[in-house]
Amino acid sequence: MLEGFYEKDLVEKQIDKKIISKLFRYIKPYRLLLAFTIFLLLVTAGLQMAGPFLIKIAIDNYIMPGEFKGLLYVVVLYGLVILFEFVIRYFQGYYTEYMGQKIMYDMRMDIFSHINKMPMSFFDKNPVGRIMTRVTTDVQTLNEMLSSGIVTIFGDIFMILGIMIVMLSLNWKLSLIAFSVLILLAIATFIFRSKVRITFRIVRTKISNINSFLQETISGINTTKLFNRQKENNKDFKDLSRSYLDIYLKTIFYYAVFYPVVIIIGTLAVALIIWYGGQKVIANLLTLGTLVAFIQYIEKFFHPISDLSEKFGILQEAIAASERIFKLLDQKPSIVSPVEPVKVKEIKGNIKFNKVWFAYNDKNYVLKDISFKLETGQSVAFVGATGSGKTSIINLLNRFYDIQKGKIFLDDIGIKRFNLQYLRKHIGIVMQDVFLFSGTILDNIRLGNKDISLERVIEASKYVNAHKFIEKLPDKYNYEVKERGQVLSVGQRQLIAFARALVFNPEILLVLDEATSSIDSEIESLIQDALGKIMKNRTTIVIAHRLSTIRNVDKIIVLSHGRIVEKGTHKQLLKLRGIYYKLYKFQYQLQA
Amino acid sequence: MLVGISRKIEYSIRTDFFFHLQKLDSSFFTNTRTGSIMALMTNDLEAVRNFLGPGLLHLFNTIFVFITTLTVMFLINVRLSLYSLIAIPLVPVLVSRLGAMLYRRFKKSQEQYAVLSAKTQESIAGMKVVKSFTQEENEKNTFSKLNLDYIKRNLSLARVRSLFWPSMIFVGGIGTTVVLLVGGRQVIDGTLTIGQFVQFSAYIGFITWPLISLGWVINLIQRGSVSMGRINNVFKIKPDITNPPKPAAPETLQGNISFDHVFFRYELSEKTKKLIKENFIDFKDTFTRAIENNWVIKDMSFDIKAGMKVGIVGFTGSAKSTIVNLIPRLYNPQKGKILVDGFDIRSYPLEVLRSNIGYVTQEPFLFSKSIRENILFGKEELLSHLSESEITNKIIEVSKTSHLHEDIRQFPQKYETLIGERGVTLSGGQKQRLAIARALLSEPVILIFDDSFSNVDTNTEELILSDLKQKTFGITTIIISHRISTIKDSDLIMVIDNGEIKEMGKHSELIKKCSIYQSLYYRQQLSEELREEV
Repeated sequence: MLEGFYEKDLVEKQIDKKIISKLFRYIKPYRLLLAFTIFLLLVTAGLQMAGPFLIKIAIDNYIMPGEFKGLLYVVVLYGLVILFEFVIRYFQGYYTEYMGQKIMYDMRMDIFSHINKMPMSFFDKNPVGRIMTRVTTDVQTLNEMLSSGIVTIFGDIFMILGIMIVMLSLNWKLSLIAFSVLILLAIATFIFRSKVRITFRIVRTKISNINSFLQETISGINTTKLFNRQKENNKDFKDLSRSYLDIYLKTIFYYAVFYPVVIIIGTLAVALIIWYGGQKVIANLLTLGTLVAFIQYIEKFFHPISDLSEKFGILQEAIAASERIFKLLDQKPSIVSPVEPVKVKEIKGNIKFNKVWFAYNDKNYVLKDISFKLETGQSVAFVGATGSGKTSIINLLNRFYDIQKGKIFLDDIGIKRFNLQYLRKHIGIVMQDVFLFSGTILDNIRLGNKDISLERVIEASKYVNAHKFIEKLPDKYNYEVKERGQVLSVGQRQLIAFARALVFNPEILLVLDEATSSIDSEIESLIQDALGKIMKNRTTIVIAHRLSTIRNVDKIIVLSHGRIVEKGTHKQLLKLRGIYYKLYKFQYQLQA
Repeated sequence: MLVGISRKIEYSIRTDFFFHLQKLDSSFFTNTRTGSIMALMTNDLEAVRNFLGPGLLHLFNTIFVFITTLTVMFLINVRLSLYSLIAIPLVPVLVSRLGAMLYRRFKKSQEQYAVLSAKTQESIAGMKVVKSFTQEENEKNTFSKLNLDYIKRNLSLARVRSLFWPSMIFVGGIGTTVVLLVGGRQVIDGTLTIGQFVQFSAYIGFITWPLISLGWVINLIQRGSVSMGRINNVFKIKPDITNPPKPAAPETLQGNISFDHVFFRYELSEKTKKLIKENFIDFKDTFTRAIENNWVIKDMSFDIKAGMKVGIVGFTGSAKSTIVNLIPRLYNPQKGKILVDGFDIRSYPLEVLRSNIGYVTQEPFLFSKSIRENILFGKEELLSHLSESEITNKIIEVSKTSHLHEDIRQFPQKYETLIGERGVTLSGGQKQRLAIARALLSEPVILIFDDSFSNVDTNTEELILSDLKQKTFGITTIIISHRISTIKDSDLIMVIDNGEIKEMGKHSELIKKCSIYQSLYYRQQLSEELREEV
């Protein structure tokens, strides 16, 4: 009954060569560092192998013959080796992490700036949470592979090979006996890992089921409360949780079998070596020191083997994460600056829409055949019912979305020929839902742009009537706005948006002026006043609801179902006795 | 075995936590982010389990190996044993020192991670502003700074972490060195046999690894206890909205509702606030406005007789929804009383009160289940006495009333169609109509529509309303709407402004005397005429 939660995709992803090569691009700048850390790793491995060897020498050359001076010499050497190992290990660990972190930094920057380039339609399709995961969690997963994965894999392989060589050089017969058992160990380990990994994938699916159920319950908590479904929810959750537990208890079986097996194999190896080597020692074919060294080497063997098999799992997860990251990075932004943008000295601000058709998706046109002209400094108001398409007009001039048919001109140049940043810099926008960032009021007005001075911000705020209420806030312009500015009223936020538009001093202004209900009449008149001020001498497109705003514009366009149905000045439209006339009449009645 | 037990404990903590969450007040959820609660159930629970499972396992293992090995060592040679243990006291010192540093730096790194995540989230959410003011570079710089700060903190963590293992291995190495020196000397002196010497070196090897893992175990224990504390903090939060100890009200409801000088504002108790703050660094006090002594609902009084049709209108943000949220006790008012059939709603068991109220929200929350399960949501037990086909008939009936049935018939799997990410995406109107069906199924005494028709087109709305009128005869119905046409024929219309009742009466009265009502009415008529125009 909860099949909706089950991830169906259980197919293991093959390691894609393309992804590896893309990943390698990020490692490349640090290849010297990588080489250095691997070098350090080799040194550590070498030092580790030196330990048992020194003990062999101590036993054979000094303890057995009874030379204390020589022993002292070896002991000092041994002490130095472990001290040196300590130091090298430290730097190796640190620099590996250092490299990993640097790569993460680069990658995060790349993803973040890539996201910034994506068109608005990208954000319509992808929920914030999903995009965020790419920047945060996925990069984190990759980090694990880079900092503990790649380098250690090199180290482990080297370690195994090194030990084998040293053992062989010490005594090849004894080595072969040891290896024969150790191969068993390697096989057992890999079998165990593959068993555990398979169940792990199921486990991961189960846990993600649990988590999505949990998340949904939290998000829908009020619905659950209203419909008294707590009991059933608890039962469902218990079932999910139980099936997760059961699967886990199964993997525990493998653990319970595996660890004793490892110990048995290890003991078997040691026993074989003592049995065989001991005979040789008695027969004087082998020194006691070599035997002791062998036993110690065997102990050092197991660690890299289990490590390697474990890294395999991390590697797979990292590959999956990088696949998701690169899928995002490979998505080319559909709205970009032209290769050779047109060069203009200044923007005058005359606008022309020529037979513009626009749809958010496919052929579902929200704007149909829209044409109008606006001279520098002129203003136009779009009016119409909800769903008439008037808000979409705002999104087109600054190329938040590209149109399907027709053309839009700015100063008689097609807007697609401008550099995107340049174009937007000259178009200010005042939106309905004023988005405030967490930070000070000051930074919210100048948007963190330090080139804009406090004086200028204050000047603009005074002009748009925002100064007064800002002065009343605890820290004035340094007042910290909490998440999404909940503390400020809708009207106050609107005034901040005006100040924001003004400090950037654009030639063209787009205003979305929805009549907001919860604004009290005092602020309402402040907004009216401010709006009039900033519209002065600026080419302005207003999506208007207040008739008082509309009366101040040069031209009015009435939209219905995405088409222009009436066009003209206030007086002309009144004479027409059409939709606008009715609109005005209602408003008039309202005020009477 | 221990690993198995730790899994079982994890299971009970998880289910208990879930049960507890379901009991907590809505205000808890408005003030915490879903992600933070989820983190408790993923990261923190894992830390606890690691402490209980591998942590304890290794701890026991270490202690056992230590004791047995040491006993044997001391039996062989006391002096050499003592010498070989010379470096052992270093272990607790190192572990506690480094452990504490690790913990602090880890916490700092985690905090910065949260900051970085928050910035990313805000940046994406405010993308429109960023783009229109061409602040991409600026955003990048800010992000870069945070990103840099994050890796700096990570590297400061790495400096300590990289020290941890090598130093443990080093301490183990000191033991071997000492055995080599002192033991070798003893062999040369003849006080120790070479066999014993070899045995000793092997034993030292035995205790080195447990020694090293001890550091790891202590780390696990530390993290596990911190996480357990965080989980416990949530368990400590007690819901304010609970069942009365002795329910005094009747089991069946008629549907009279009255508000008696009700004052309400969103706020958290200081204790809950503290507990939440301790757990969630990104605690968002959505209710800061409460400090400014701002009542969301001010001195509200009204009477609704059973069976009445009531309309509530007002501008956005005038607290219309808050009023109806109080009736099923999603929140408790601070002052005043709400009565149903003359009894304080606090004297009803929550289940009784809520199961008698059908509630349709504006943006209904649907679950990733089938349509059938979504309509049946919460009524499984109530209808369990019916057969499958009887339930199906009932579901179809309510779907017809809410004019959803035809839509569902278009889906290949009909009522079994899955909704959500893995199934079909319903349109806003379909969602609202499904929510209406969901509310009707329990045959409630009080029906509340919180702007439930905003995405349903006017024609369908009228059809639903007229169907409802027949079905809901004798049922108290409260409709919040932006469209005057929806509530025009109500027995009583309340005009709400800023948490207060501005005016109450019938349409014919309000249109004459209430300016807000007039303004709403004209705006509405206008857009309708505009629509008809083309």
